[in-house]
Amino acid sequence: MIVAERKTIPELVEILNGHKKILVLGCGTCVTVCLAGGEREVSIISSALRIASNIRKLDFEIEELTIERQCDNVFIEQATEAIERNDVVLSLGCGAGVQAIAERFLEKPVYAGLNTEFIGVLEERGIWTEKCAACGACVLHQYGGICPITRCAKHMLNGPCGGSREDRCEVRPDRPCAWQLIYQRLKGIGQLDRLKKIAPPKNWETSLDGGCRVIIREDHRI
Amino acid sequence: MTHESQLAKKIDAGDFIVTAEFLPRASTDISEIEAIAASFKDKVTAVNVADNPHGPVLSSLAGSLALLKAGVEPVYQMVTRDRNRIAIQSDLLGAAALGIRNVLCLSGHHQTLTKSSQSANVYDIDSVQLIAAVKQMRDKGVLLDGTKIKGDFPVLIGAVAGPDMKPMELNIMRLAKKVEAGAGFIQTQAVFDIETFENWLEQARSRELTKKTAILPGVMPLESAEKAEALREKYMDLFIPDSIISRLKEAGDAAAQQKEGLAICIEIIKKIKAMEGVKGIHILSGGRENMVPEIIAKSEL
Amino acid sequence: MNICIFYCSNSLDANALKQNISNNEKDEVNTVSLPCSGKVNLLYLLKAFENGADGVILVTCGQNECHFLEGNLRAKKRAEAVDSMLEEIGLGKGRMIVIRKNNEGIKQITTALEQLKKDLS
Repeated sequence: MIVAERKTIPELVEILNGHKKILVLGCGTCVTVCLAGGEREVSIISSALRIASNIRKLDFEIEELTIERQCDNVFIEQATEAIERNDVVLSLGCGAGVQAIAERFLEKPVYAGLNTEFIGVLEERGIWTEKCAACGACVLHQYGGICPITRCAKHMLNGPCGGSREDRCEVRPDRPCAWQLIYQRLKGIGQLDRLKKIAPPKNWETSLDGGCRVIIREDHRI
Repeated sequence: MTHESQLAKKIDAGDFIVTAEFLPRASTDISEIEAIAASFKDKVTAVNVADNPHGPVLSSLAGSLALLKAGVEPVYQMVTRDRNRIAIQSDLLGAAALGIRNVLCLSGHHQTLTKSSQSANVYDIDSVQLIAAVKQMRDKGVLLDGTKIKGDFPVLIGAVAGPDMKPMELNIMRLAKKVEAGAGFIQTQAVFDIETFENWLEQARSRELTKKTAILPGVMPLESAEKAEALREKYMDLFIPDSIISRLKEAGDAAAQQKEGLAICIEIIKKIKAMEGVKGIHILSGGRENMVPEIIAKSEL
Repeated sequence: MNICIFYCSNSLDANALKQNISNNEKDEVNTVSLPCSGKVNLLYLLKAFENGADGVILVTCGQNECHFLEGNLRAKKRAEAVDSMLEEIGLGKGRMIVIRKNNEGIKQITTALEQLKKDLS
């Protein structure tokens, strides 16, 4: 899922300062699951903004709404009336959600209330970790299901780097070295030989480096 | 201008090699480099020029050329952190055209460990891929995209290894890959733990890696217990055992600790230089280039 | 001064609490009974502030005494999150107090209440 975190209240106040009627718009999909922008967080952030507004006499009038998915036309339509009766939208969707709303309401300022962080998983309650960099050409089959592009800070395909430790990454003391994990995993499944082959330079054309991507499925079009 | 790598020649001849590390500064004063070159001249086979290890400084390409001009053979260090394959190959062509004959291929300290921690990184290719790219340019005369290179590209390729990196199986696998990719010499991270180094070397020997590449173990004079602790805390590739730190501490004041650091360095050199499979010594100055001549003299290199 | 007390109904007697807390012209104290202190979430606590509370006290049961095993632990963490959020908002820290019930009975609560009033005035 896409994992996000809310911006701080001072940041949100700064963004919204000068506006009156504000729709805080939540999203019921990824950001609900990662506890950043679902119905509950919409209420919490709205409440915090109302308190801040009272203290600073900002005169915010905040409406709350959460739709199922901000990245899907069918659901965005359900927010049309609420969006139209407010001056601005503070979207608690991911970066895709914010842009989807903004592109459909050209006259309306749409602001991001969250920082979209990564594609990841819920490791355990309250802990999310990054797993995928969406490079567009998956190499997981070669690395025992552990992504060296995402989880190695140097994206090394022929790792590890010299800073590898059995218990940590050189860059992040709180994260394991991906290459130690790859080694253990491949050893465990009897595929250590995969590491002996030199992986050639990766083709980054399929990734964001190749420009903003689009997928067209003709079989789904008329 | 030399047209052949003296380092390569000496490796082929089986001569004992001494290389030393020079860390360029954030400076445009070329006389500093000339002074370092003069102090190193005729004492070392080649001098490594670091590629922005702790943040932006004078480029390793410019530093290498300045050394070359001053009559010292450079080992041009190149990290994959800051340049994509376009910039890397372009710089390599320039380096070869202007007489640089040795390239050391590294991934480089991650930018978050440098003073420019907010910088983006590149990491288009990794260190093994860089070694293979340079080899292809040299042996096949073509760039990664297949473009034919006009003229020779006669460079000796070096790489880095860390004897202390665990587990040993993964460590040796990485070393073997670098050698297979084309590393003609290997400079190691600073050795402080003789036993671990011996074990690592034995593993390399048993896989005949010491026959395929010239191993030049790194040594580093430590300045003080405090600085040594800070270094090992920050850089995971540097393994300094507690016993070394205690020795420095017990030495006494700053001057005594510095002296002890030098003594430890010389002791290590004397212990490892005669080991089977060791082809030379690489002195990691860590920016204290003025220590190098003394280390060379006192360790009878 | 407006103070709101959220309390675990397994730990405090509602009548005793009400009898010992007096509202006057200056101070208004509201109490909210919870089946477990772990029932509170950030929104409950923030809403109290949004609706005019100057301070909030959350009373949890003692360590290892939670009927629902870890409700009191969760409550404490959530209260801490609210405290730091209030700081972000600009109200400063120290308006959100957690009291873990001890053997003093209702006196523990009234003492804490007076202390909070003092701290906030």
